[in-house]
Amino acid sequence: MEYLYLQGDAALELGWEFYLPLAIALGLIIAGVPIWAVLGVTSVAMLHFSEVLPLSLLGEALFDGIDAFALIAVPLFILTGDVLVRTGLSGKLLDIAEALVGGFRSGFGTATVLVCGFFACISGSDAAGAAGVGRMTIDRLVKQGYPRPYACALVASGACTGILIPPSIAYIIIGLILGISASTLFLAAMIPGLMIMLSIMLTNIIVNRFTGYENADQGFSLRRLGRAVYDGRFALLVPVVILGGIYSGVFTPTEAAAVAVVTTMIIGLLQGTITLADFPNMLASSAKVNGVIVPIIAFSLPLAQTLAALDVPQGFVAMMTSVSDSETVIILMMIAILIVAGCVMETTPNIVILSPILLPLAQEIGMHEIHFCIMMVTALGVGFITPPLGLNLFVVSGLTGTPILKIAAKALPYVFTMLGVVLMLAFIPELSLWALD
Amino acid sequence: MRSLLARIDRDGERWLLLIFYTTIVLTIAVEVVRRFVLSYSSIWGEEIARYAFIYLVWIGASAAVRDRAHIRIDVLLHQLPARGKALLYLFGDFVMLAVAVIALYFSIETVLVSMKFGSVTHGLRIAQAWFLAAVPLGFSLLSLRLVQSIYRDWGDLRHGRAAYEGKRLFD
Repeated sequence: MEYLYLQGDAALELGWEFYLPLAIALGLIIAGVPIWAVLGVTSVAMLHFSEVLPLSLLGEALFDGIDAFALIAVPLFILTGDVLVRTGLSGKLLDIAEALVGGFRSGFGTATVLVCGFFACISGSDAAGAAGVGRMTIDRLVKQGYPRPYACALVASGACTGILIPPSIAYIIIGLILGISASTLFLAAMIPGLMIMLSIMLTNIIVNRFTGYENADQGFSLRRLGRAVYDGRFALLVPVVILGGIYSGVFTPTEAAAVAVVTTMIIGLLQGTITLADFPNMLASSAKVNGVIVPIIAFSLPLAQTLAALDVPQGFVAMMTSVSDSETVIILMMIAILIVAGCVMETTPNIVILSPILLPLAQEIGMHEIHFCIMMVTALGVGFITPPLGLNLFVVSGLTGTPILKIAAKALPYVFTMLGVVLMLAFIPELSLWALD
Repeated sequence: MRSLLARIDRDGERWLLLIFYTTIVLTIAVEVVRRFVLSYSSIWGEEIARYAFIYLVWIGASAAVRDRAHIRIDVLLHQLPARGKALLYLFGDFVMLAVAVIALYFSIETVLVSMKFGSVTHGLRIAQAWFLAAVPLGFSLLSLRLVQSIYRDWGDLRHGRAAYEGKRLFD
C-alpha cells in the first residue's frame, strides 16, 4: 500500500496546461505550419498556462540558447557539404566509390551509399549530403535500372549516415544539451555509424536479389581504382584532416569544420572548379539552410526548459518504471518513443526536447550516458526517412519532384534494417563504448 | 530611391548573410592558424564568431521565410485544391507572424534591460546590446517578409492565382 502511494505521488500529474499546448502543436503541425513556429506557439502556450517560468524566458533563449561555440559547427558543416558539391570533389568521391565497389552485384547502389558515407566523414549534416549525393546519383541510378522513387529512397537512407557517422551535427547538439564532449561522442559513434552504412548497402543488395533492378555490370579494375584515388586524392585528404584533427584533440569539431571549409574552398580555387564569383551564391544558400535548422533548435530550448520545470523528466521515470522494472522492456519502450517521435517531429527538436527527459530513465536502468546518446541519435536517425516529416525524404523529393509518400513507401525496407541496427546498438553497449576508457 | 528599395528587397538578407558567414569562417580559421603558429588564441576571436553566428541564424531565418523554405509537413497541403492550399499557406504565415511578434517583443526587452545595466561582453568589452540586437533585427526582417508574403498570398487568393510554392531549400 505504501509502495503504491509513493508511486502515485511521484507519478506524472499533468493537467490541461500540458495537454492543451500539445494538442495545439499537433493541429498546427498537421496544418503545415513551419516547425519553428509550432515550437514557438507550444513554448509560449505552455509557459503562459503553467506559469512555472516567466514568459520572458523566450527572449533570452533565442539568444543565449544558441550562443554556443559548438553550434557554429552547424553552418560550417552545411557549407562544407555545399563546397564539396560545387567544387566537383563529391564527383571524385563518387568515382572512387564506383571504382571500389561498382564491379560487384548492385554495384552502383552500393557505391551511392558509400559516397554518402564519404560525405558523412566530411560534412556533419545529412540534408546537405542527401542533396549533394542525390543530385549526382539519382539520375544515374535510374539509368542503371532503379525506379525513380526507389533511387530517391536509397539516397535518402544512405544520407542518414550524415549524422550517424562522425562528424555529426546531431552528436554536437545532444552533447551540448547533456553536457558531454562531442569529440567523445564522435569516437563512440564510429562503429555504430559504419554499421548503419553497411546495413543500408546490404539491404539494397538483398532488395536487388528479389527485384533485379540494377542490371549494370561494370567489372572491377585495379587500374581504374588507382586512377580514381589519384584524381580524388585531395578529396580523400579532407576527412583525414577533419577526423584526425578531432580525434587527436588538435581541433574542436567547430574548428575542424572551419578548417574543412577553408581547405575545400582552396582546393576548389586551385583546381579552378570554383571561382570567387561563386562564393556569394554558395554562402547565401548555405546560410538559408542554417536559417531553417538553427531556429528549430532555438525554439525547442524554452520548451525543454518548461518541461523540466514541470518535473516531466522525474514524472516520466516514475511512470515508466511503474510499467515495468525490466531493463529490456524499458529500453524497448524508449526506442518505441524515439521512433514515434521521429515520425511526428523533426530530428533536431526531438534531440533537444527528449534527451533531457529520457536520460534520467536510461540512468535509472544503469545505461552509460554515451551509450544512451548513441542509441538515441541512431533511433532518431531512422526518423529522417519516415513520413510525414523525414528531412531526407523532404530534400530528395524537392530535388526530383517525386512525391514524399512514394519515396517513403520504397524506403520501408531501410526503416526496418536501421531499426534492427538500433536494437543491436541498444542491447550490445560494447559497440558504442569500445573506444572509451 | 525606388530602385534602391527594390535591391534591398531582393538582396538585403543576402548581403548581410555574406558578411556574417565570411566573418565566422575567417575568424575561426585565423584563430586556428594563430594557435598553431603562435600557440596563442584570443578570447575575442571566439566571441566574434559566436555573435556573427547568431546574426547569421536570425537573418537566415528571414531569408528562408522569403523563399518559403522553412520545414513543414506538406502532406495535407499537397492533398488540397489550390484555394485550400493558399488558405493554409496564409494561416501558416499568420502563425509565424504571431510568434515573430512575441519574440520581437521579448527580445527587445532583453536588449533594453542589457542597455539599462550597461553590460559588456567578456572579450571585446563592448556593449552586449550590439549583439543581443541580432534577435530583434532578425525578427523585424522576418516579420516584414511575412507581411510581404501575406500581401502576395492574399492577392493570389483573391485573383484565383496559384499560391507561391517557394524556392527549393537546395538549388
